[in-house]
Amino acid sequence: MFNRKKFEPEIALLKQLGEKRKHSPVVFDEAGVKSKLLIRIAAETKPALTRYDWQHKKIAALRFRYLIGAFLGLSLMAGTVVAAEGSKPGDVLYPVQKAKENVQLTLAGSQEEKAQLLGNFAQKRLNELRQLHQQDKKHVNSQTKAAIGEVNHALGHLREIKIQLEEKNGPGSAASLSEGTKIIETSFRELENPQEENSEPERVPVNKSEVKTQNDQKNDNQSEQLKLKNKNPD
Amino acid sequence: MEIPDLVRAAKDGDAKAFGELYDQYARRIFLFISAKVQDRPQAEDILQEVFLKAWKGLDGLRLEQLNFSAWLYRIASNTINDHFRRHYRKPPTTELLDNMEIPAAEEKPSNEENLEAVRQAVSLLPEQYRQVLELRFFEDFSPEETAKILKRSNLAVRLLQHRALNKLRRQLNPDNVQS
Repeated sequence: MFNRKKFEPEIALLKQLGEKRKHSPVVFDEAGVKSKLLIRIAAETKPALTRYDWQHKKIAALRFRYLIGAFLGLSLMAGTVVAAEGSKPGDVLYPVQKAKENVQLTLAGSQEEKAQLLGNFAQKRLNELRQLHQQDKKHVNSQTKAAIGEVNHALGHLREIKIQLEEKNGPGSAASLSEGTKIIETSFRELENPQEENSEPERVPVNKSEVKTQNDQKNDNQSEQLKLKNKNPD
Repeated sequence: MEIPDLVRAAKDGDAKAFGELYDQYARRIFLFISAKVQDRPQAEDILQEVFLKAWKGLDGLRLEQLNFSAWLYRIASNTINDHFRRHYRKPPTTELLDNMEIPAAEEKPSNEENLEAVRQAVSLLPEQYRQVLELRFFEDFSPEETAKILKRSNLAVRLLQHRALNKLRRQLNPDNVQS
């Protein structure tokens, strides 16, 4: 097939051309390519790890695991808290909802904020109580009792806050709070004593200002009595 | 240092030794690349890629009976193919020796004229013929090494070489062709 002797002259010329090429200047950025290449090599070459590096690596790995664990734990907790929202007394997740409310109360920045939260929670308990009563009016189980206790507790707290605010800012400054508390109290009484259902039902206010205008004429009789009672407990 | 020593040092992670290997081979590899890739910046990028692949491949390289030059050309050939595969097009026909500047002749004018004629004739050959001629007679690779570089069989390389030389002869002596 290939007879080298046959192409001797061409091969000789090609070899001469090859030799010339080896010694001829070639137009390209030889140094530029070299510098880029060496920089890439340096970037891709990782130094050997020392004992110190290994310890650091282990610590970093442990930290990473803890972070992952914490993240999963928090995600789980957050999911549970969200799922617990709207649970009723007796539900598995009800204690989670209670715990969340306690945290919110602890984190409340001011008395006003705390009062608002207490009001909201008391209303929530009342709704829960209503639902329980609708299910079985005669049956008052431990969850219902607990809810009643909590509403009472919230009402007591609300009264205390009202008094504190009035002492701080002057009489009448906690009027809306007072009204809100009254409404909760009324709703609570109705729920506790169903025979009073014939009396005119009070609508749950949408906001504090509405409370104020709706109940202007009833204002403060009960709160004044409570104030006096707190100042002179005996 | 000799090439095998430089290769050994580079294999042990000596970037300076690898830089010297680059100095030794960059021009030749660049010419090999630019025979297929005419665009100079692209050819330079491929050259850089070739040496980077070589650096990475040094770890697994067996030094016994190693022909470093052939190994480097093989990487270059693969990298060029990868380049065209990425661009979904066939390599354009280029002037093989466009990037080469032949210095002023010290030899007889007739020989210089002959060389220029050969250069012209080679540049007009089909790409696969040029490749074989370049590797076999410019770079002095054996048919076996050329076959490895081009990923072809020995037989195919010998056949291509025969056809390439035949065609070159016809181009150089159009009036006096012997088959």
